[in-house]
Amino acid sequence: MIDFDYEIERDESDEIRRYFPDKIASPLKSSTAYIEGPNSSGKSTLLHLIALGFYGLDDENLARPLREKLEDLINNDKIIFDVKIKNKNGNTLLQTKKNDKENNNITTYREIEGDLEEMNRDTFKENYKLIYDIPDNPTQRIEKIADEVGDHQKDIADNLSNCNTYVRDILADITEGRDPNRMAKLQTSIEGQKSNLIILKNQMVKNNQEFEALSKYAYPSLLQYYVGELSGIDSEMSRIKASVASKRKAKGSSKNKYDDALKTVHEIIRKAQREYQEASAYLKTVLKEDTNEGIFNSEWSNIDFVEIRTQYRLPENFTKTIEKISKIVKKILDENKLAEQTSNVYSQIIDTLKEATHNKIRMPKIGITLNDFIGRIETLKKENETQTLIAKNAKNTIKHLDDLTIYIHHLKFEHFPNLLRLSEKVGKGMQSNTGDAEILRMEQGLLLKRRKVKAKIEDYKHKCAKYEVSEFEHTKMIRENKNKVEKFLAYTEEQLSEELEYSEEEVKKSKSHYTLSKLRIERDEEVLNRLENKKPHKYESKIKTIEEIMNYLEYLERKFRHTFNKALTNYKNKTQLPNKSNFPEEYENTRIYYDGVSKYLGAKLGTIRHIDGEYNVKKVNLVSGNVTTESGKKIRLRAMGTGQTQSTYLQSKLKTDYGGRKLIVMFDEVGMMDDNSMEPIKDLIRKLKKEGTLLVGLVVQRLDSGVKITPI
Amino acid sequence: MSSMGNNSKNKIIDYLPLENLDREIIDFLSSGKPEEEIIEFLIKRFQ
Repeated sequence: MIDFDYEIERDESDEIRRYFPDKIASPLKSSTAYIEGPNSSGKSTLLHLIALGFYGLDDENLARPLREKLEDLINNDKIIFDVKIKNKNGNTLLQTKKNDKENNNITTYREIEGDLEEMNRDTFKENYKLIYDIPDNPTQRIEKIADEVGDHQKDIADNLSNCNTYVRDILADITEGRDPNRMAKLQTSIEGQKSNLIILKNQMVKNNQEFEALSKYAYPSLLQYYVGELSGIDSEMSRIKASVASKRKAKGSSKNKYDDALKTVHEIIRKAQREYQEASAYLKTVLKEDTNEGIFNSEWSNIDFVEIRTQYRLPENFTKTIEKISKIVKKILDENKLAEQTSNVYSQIIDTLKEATHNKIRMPKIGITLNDFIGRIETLKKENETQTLIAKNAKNTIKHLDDLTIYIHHLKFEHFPNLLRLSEKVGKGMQSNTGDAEILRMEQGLLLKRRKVKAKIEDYKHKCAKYEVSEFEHTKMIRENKNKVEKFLAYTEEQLSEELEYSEEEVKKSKSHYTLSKLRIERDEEVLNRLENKKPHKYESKIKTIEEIMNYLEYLERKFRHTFNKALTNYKNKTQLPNKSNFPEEYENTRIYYDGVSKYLGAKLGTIRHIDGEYNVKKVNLVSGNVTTESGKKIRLRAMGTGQTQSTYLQSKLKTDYGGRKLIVMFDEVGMMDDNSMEPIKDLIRKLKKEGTLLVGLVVQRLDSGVKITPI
Repeated sequence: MSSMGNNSKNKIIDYLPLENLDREIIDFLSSGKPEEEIIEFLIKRFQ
């Protein structure tokens, strides 16, 4: 029985109309009925309300005309309703109601052990199936039956996927559990990491010691160097200010020529002084502790560029000093050249062997590993390090001395005499030819240099404080731990500064490597400890089988989700079979799939009526558009009568297996079917009702002469 | 896991190109049995 009540309020602009159950009156004594009636008798309205209540709009396959009607009803009219599906004893099995016209809330209930319990969309979907259809355009709709195949294939693929997730979880539990293989691997890894940790620790200690020695020597040494520089700059500035030249101004009619010559002279002096300074930096290292160190400290260091710049006069014996020092440095270069060449050869060998290791090039066996061999050559190279550096610095010294000689030569024999000649023309003595601008430029240059040097001093003071090194500790280091800093004695200030940066970075790097490695060991030990304390997994001994199952499920899921899905799309699109001679395997697979689906569709239809006969269907081939009967007859789908096609389509809906769910079946506007076409549908409704699967079975037909409700 | 297509007369898997083992397993997966039972069944079939 179906008990129902409703009110529909429709705004028709000029009036508000209300509709209630009238010609089709509540209750319907049988929940399976064939309802006939004229237009506007309320037969379709009842079906619409039942469909709205039982989640009809959530059915993505709902026929478009029905969807449009349901949406129009819920969105444009104000409705309330209450529908109860009852069993023969009058107990409510399902109920759906909407109490408020102002909102769209619909509540649905089901009977559980005598009580009505609210039911959401998912629970309904799991336990019930609403089959609500209108058999318009039936030929096309028969073709749509193939969509069900897609739904089934998707369901199977989802089931396989869910099962595979479960299997994968088990596998993860085994792996995360007391997996003996994993534990053994972890143990070996920890042992390897521990050996490596010792190497890293030794490296860290060695780097720390080297940096400590270097910082004790280098930071104070650099600090004192720049303090000396600062003092030199200050002294130079005082002397410039005090010079006679700074107090004179140039006058006279030939001033332009004189000024140009003056500018050139100062430019060359500036270049010469730069060469002198560069050469000094290298000389200090090359001549350190050499028997000729005295020449550097006296003759060379006493060269006064302030005098050159202000008096336009070269110090006596300047050229001879350069020549003398060049000779000494060349001798030192000769003594150390071989070491430098040897070191270069070692570098080339190391680079080549490293490249061979990197590219995994096969090398002859030499009794030790290639890395060990490279290590030994690096040791040999290190033994030459100091001599190599001296040779390198000597070469640089010679280059700067040569350039200095050229500038001095030009000044002495060309520019100074020229300047003297011009100064006489403009009536000036040699002591009065420096302009204010030049004095200012010199002062500004020195101020800039002073600022840079001052910053360096602050930096090194800070570093000394940071590493707790006294500002004169370098002298103590040379005195007491000369072996630790010996190689740095040959370094220029710039090289020393670079070495400090490099060494500081190495300390940081080795400390970070050590800490990371230690953390990694601790983490792995924790994991191992956790694994050791775990109980073995139930399926630990079956891990291989579990892996095999996982692979199998993945393979089968792929088959349904991709291979079959693609074949079904082609089948529905009526794509012909692939060319047999070009793609024999693909042809055969597709043929078997097409044939299978055609037979499945045939089995679903079972029997059909055509003209005046009834036939058992063997196949429905949607690609060719033919129905093949068991007797071998071929009927074209499009040649079937509309009523018969409608009937065939609706039968297929009732012959589908819905997995034991209870059915609510409603067919609207089946107007093209005669009694012969309608009878198989009624038979199926009766059969399903008898089986206890069907809760509702309503078929609606137009009848102009009046309302007629016939129980099925 | 939802169940579908179990009617013995009208199961899609009976018409698709599959091995008997495939059909047996698909049927079992759609039977609505608990996961523990399914995994025991699979292990037994694969051992």
